Amino acid sequence: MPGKIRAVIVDDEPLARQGIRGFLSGDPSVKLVGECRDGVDAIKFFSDHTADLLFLDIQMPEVNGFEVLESISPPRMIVFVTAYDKYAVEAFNVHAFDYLLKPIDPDRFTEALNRAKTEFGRDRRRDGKSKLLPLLSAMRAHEGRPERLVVRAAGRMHFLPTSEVDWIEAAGDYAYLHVKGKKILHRETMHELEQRLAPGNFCRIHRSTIVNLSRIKELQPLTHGEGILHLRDGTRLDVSRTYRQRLVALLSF
Amino acid sequence: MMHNDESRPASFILKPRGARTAMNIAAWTGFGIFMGAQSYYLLLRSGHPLLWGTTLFRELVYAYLWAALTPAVLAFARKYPLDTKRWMARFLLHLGASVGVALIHKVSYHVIIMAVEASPGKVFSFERLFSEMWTYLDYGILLYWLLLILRHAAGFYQKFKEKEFRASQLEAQLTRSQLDALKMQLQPHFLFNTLNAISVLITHHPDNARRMISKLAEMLRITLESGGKHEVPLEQELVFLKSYLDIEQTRFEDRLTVKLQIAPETMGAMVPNLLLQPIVENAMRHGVAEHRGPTVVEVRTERQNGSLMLQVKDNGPGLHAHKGNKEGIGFTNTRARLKQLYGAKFSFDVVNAPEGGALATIIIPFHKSAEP
Repeated sequence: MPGKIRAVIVDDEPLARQGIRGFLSGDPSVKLVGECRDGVDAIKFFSDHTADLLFLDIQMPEVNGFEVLESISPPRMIVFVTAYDKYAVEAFNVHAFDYLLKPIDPDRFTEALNRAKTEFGRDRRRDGKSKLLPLLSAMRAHEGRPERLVVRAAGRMHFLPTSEVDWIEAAGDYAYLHVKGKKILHRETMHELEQRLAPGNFCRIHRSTIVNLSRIKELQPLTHGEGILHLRDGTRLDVSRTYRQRLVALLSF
Repeated sequence: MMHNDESRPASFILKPRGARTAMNIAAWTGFGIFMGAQSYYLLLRSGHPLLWGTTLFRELVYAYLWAALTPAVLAFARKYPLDTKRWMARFLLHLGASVGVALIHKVSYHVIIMAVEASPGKVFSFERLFSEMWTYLDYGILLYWLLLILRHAAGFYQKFKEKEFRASQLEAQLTRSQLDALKMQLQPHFLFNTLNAISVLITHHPDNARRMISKLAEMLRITLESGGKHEVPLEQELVFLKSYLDIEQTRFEDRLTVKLQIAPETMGAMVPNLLLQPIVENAMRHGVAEHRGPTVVEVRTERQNGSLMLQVKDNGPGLHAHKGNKEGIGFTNTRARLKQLYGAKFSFDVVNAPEGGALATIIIPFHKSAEP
């Protein structure tokens, strides 16, 4: 018997949070573990908490629901909540995500919660993020947002446009972002970063290196299909055989 | 929205038949008297005076015969106007018609005069008729062409008036659609989030739910009843604004602070209907919706001699923080409406306040009745 579903509510309107809290309060199989009053609050919460089920409002100040998901390791089950967003609702349908429209219909809420419970009983190791990526990139394109990474510097959270990142170096489960000669520790794995960064702008060149294509000065081929990449700022990076072919293809554009 | 009473083209020249007949007879009577006086005087000067009564009688017969022909000439002129591509053919047609009509007129005239003035020495004869009917025929032709010109002038005037009427109608429709657009600015986000808040309040705070429903109803009622009214007293505008702000306050609780500083003497001043709502909504959008911290929205009014100043201030990120620094559709409409209502006698500025946030200032003539 699996434990209780740990649920989190993210909404910038207190009454909206109270509403979902009210719906959940009668259900013994769900435990509310967090309430976040906006997107930034949610990113902070998920930096040191996990959850199974997320009720996520989309329209929030400064950081919207989609940007939250881009910046965290999301819970397995997400129920989007929105007052009005035709495009997003279409996208939810296309990418098979559950959503609730405000004002929330109690029957629709119960349906969504039941679906989440069924999902909870299934495979618990499934990666939630890979399913999200197509939805997130569609929404980012629609909203015309620049691609950003949430980074922490001196305990403060801020957004770094990916166009400012020169290259990325693996650091265990995390990664170092190289920005104008500085190294910033970032809480995402190389695999996650490789997946979400736009393929036209970034390319993985080594097991432990991703490079911003616009920073490349030249590629110096070595034997055995390996190579050395020279960046404009003088940095030299190893290119492994596995990734060289794709890099050459991207550079020939 | 189409209004039948306004879309029907109005006729400015075509008056009822009776009025037209009266006008026709009056005009030709005037013409007859004038001509009678003129020939009486001329004959007097030439040394062959006629009786005043005889002269007047002849000229009135002449004039009334024209009065009888006038409706037919005008109808003919309307049916075959000169301002077409086939103007040459029309010109020849009217030339022929003018000779014909003048002849008919002249023959009728002489027949009547000879019959009435018959005396032993002067009897009716075709010989006399044939010799006299050609004299002064050019005068008749001239009168025909005069009628023709009058008819065309009236036609042009009517077209001009219709054009003018259509322009004013367009203007009215523009204003109405602008008002409609303003109504549309009750955005779905506002409406659905408000309904969601009400739906939550129903369970635990039914009184607050009722309050919120009544505020929403108040807003909708004022918007629906605003049709046609371009200006309302500030007091009424504030009822709408307060309902809106109360709803937002309930939605955002302590994240939003609203400050109203309304000078009492400005309460009765007329302001454009629904003027403040889009500006306050804009402040709200750049405040609560985009700004995590507490948002403060201030609305201030003040009488400055002959002017009324209205100010809306927020503590959001200010103007240039927004992409493209777009004023937004609400502001474009606001400016256009102010221009339409007050011409050059208004000012509307949105600037960044020195202490941060955006500051919108509207100055319009201070007036207490509908038109400034």
